[in-house]
Amino acid sequence: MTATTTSPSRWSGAVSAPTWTTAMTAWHVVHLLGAVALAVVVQQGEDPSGAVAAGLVATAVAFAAGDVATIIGLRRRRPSGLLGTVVISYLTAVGSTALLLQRTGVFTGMDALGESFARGVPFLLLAVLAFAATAWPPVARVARWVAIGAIGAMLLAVGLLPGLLTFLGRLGGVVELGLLVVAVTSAFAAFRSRRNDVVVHLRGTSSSSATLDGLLFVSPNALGFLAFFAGPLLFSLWVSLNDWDAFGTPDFVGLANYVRIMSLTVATAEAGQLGNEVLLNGYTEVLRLGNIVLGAQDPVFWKSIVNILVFAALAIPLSVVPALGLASLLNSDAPGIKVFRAIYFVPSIAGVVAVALIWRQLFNATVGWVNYLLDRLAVAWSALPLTPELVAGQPQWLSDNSLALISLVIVFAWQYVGFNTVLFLAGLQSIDPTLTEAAMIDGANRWQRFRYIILPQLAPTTFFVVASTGILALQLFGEAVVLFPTYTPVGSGPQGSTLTPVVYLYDQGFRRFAQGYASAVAWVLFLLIFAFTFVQFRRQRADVEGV
Amino acid sequence: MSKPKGNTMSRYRWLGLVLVLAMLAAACGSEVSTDDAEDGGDTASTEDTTADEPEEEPADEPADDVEEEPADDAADESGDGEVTLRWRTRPDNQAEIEVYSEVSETVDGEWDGVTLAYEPGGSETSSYQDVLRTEIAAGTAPDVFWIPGTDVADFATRGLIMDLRDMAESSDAYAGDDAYYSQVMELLTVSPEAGDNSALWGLPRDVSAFALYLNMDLIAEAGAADPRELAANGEWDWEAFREVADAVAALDPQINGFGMNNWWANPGYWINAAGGSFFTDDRTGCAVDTDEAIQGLEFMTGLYQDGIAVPYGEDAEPPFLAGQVGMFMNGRWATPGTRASATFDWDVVKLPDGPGGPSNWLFWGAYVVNANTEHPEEAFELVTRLTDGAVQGTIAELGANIPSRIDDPAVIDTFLGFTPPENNQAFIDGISENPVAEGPLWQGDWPAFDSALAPQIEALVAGDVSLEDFQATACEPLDATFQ
Repeated sequence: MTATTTSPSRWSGAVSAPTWTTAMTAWHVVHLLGAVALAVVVQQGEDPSGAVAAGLVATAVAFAAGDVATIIGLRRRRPSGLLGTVVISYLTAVGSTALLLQRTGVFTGMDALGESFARGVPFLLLAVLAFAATAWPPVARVARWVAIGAIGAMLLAVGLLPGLLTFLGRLGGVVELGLLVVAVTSAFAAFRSRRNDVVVHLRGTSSSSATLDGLLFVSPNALGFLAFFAGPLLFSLWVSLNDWDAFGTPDFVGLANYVRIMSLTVATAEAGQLGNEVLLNGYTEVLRLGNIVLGAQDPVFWKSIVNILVFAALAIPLSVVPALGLASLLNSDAPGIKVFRAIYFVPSIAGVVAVALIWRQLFNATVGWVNYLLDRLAVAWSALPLTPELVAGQPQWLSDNSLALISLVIVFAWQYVGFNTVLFLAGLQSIDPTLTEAAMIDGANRWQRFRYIILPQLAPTTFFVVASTGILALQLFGEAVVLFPTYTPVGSGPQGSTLTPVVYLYDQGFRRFAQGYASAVAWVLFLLIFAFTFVQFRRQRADVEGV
Repeated sequence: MSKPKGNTMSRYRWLGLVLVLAMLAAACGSEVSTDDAEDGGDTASTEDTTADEPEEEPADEPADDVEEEPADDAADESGDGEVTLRWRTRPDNQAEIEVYSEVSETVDGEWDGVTLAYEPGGSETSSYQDVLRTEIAAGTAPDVFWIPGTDVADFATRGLIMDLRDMAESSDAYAGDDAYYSQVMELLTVSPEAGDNSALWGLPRDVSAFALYLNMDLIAEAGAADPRELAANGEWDWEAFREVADAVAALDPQINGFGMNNWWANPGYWINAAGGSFFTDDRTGCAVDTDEAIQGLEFMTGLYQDGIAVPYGEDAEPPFLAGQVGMFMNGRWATPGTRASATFDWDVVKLPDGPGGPSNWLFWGAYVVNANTEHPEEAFELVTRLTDGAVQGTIAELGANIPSRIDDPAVIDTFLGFTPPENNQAFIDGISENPVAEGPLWQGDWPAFDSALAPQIEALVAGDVSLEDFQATACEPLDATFQ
């Protein structure tokens, strides 16, 4: 089946589809040679080196392979030729444009634009107002021209003219001109190849057209994902296999970083015997259960794992169960209920740093409000008749190693209960009320309706809430760093009691110059989070199948 | 007749595209206007990435294993031949930012051919050094920047900063090593390769020392002796200190006699004043297990375990400013905050003499030159200009830190005239009487040492580890941090 045709283009008449296909074949030959040349130059040159060079070579090889496949497809008039031409030309256009903008200083100039943009804001507001006025027919025409004029004035105010002159001046370099030619050529190649005559000539189907449309549609997001998420992710995986301080040349060490992280040993010790007396050389005590001593090559990492597991075990229920209760309370039409919903949601829109800073003041042992409140409550209680005197003490929320993690749990739960409440509320409101009504008619009491109707119906919401809260808990960083800024490493709390894996990897990577080791820690943490989420998925599936 | 909707949408699409392109072009324009308009350079120039400009080789090569990248394109020569230099400090407050901005504008105005762009870095708790290291790795760090003394070895041995000795010897602007505190220069001139003091890694921006900030109202209410008078009479030792602290703490359960924060220098003072040290004499090993160090730690932990000090790990500054602490140990940098917030009669006194005699820290940080700067000569000259007498005088007027130059008594007088506190001399005494210079570990890993020591001291103060166990085990993980 051939592709559905769209309206003929004025471009179609200038060059016939067979001629265009031949031109595209030549274009891909040139592209292929360019990719091969790039791979060779990068491979044999000294700069760039390391992962950047490897990435460039891999990209060039992928492009070269794509060019070969596309040339074959074009020669045989197959849809793959069309797909290859559009995709490769599109990617080349995007890449060369990005490079061109980089070399002409546009990206860095965006910072400065942030300052000059303020000069254009009044004109922008005028343009918005004028555009809004176009909806009123008597002034529509004038308003339209005012809007256009205001936009023009805004561009002039923020420096369009000097910018254009500078940009044109910087295009004078050989490299810049070359990039411009490649960008324009590639963009035109992608654009022209999407025309119907070429699609028909290359036996494109509606399916292949739809595929191309889909790819182009998702390309901005997909390219952003590749550049800013998948790329760095893979880069960190490579870094984790190296001993690298981020400045010098990486030293490939294979799995040594992972081996050091995961190395554990067990020994038995008598009472009073120190761990280092019974453990293998290079191992330090992490945990002691009776006379069994667990040792690790990196005890600090394992301490962080123990901390985060304890934290998650406390923080997840405290962030989820109260949220479910609150959602049940808020799931009514009582007057003013929306105000309460908003109040409970507010903490989740506050920044982590702001929240933690406020809690740091509240938790101060000597002048903090929490201890003051406890003291007042104790005084009030003691003043009651027939009650024993109560002394609140002075809990050291931030400096006692047995309380510090609890403080973190409180802050975390306070911050995320509101968000979880909203999720549960949405889940509750999506439950078919006839189910609970039927249960009522059958004689189910309030608890039975909640246990056997509401909870099962909320299972998908509960899964999402638990999984997302768990992931947030396991990635804990900001709260610890702000609540415990004076500890070493920063965020680690008294005696390392709030050291989390992310705090630890930050310390390793950015304070100790151990980027390779920090990356390995990050990947181990990723596996931990993945395992947690996977278990949740399996439980969710089992619940659904059980139902 | 209404127009087809698709046509309207297409028009808006094109209009949007044109707007985006215009804004991109304007991004170039903003840059140019910044460069042209800003003579003083308050705004960091983010120019200029054209490929056809000649790249200058650094005069002094960085270490071999460092990937060479230009410090930042902003350091390129501008179109009119001006060299643009970016520099950065770690300010403690907005007042410091404004003073350094003025300094930058003044130096810029007096210096032909160079345009300065001052960039205030984040505060200590906002990871100033971490951000800096990341920028160095990315090749976007400033040409000149300030780093704490403890970090100099790390930056130098990794080839991130430039050895300035050759340029210093051929420079008329350099006042010589003798113009600065000798303890500082001894650490700032270490050549790890030659094993002597033939290098020069930077010049100290300023120095500082600890003092005890006194709540005179509480001390008077407790009927304790005035620490300033005790110090003047040579009677200000640990015993006298403890008596004052006990007396103030006895006033009320909510009142503490003493407070200090929990970073390394605080326990370090008690160790040093008892005659001990973090390190062996040659700074190649741990020494916190010596009897002297243990004696110092025993006295310090006693303050906490007897309940007269703000709990270790709690920020002691808020309760001090709230009038609930008799004596608060902190550096000169706490003066502006105390001036602004304290509503009680306050002053400072030098730290009490320990069993090992008077002791204090000589805190310092240095302006250093990015190893990848494209303008090393100009960068070095900037370092000398930022540490000359006039600038030191300007900084001294801030009152936050003590000038690093010792060859100009007038600068010290400026510092002493910045009151309150009335007893500014306490800080000068602090850096005059047997101070221990904050210093880099040229044969060790200071961040690792710090990370390994801190939790052990916390455990000691909390009573989770006995002094005997601490003495027996503390140095094992610490020794591992030395090469």
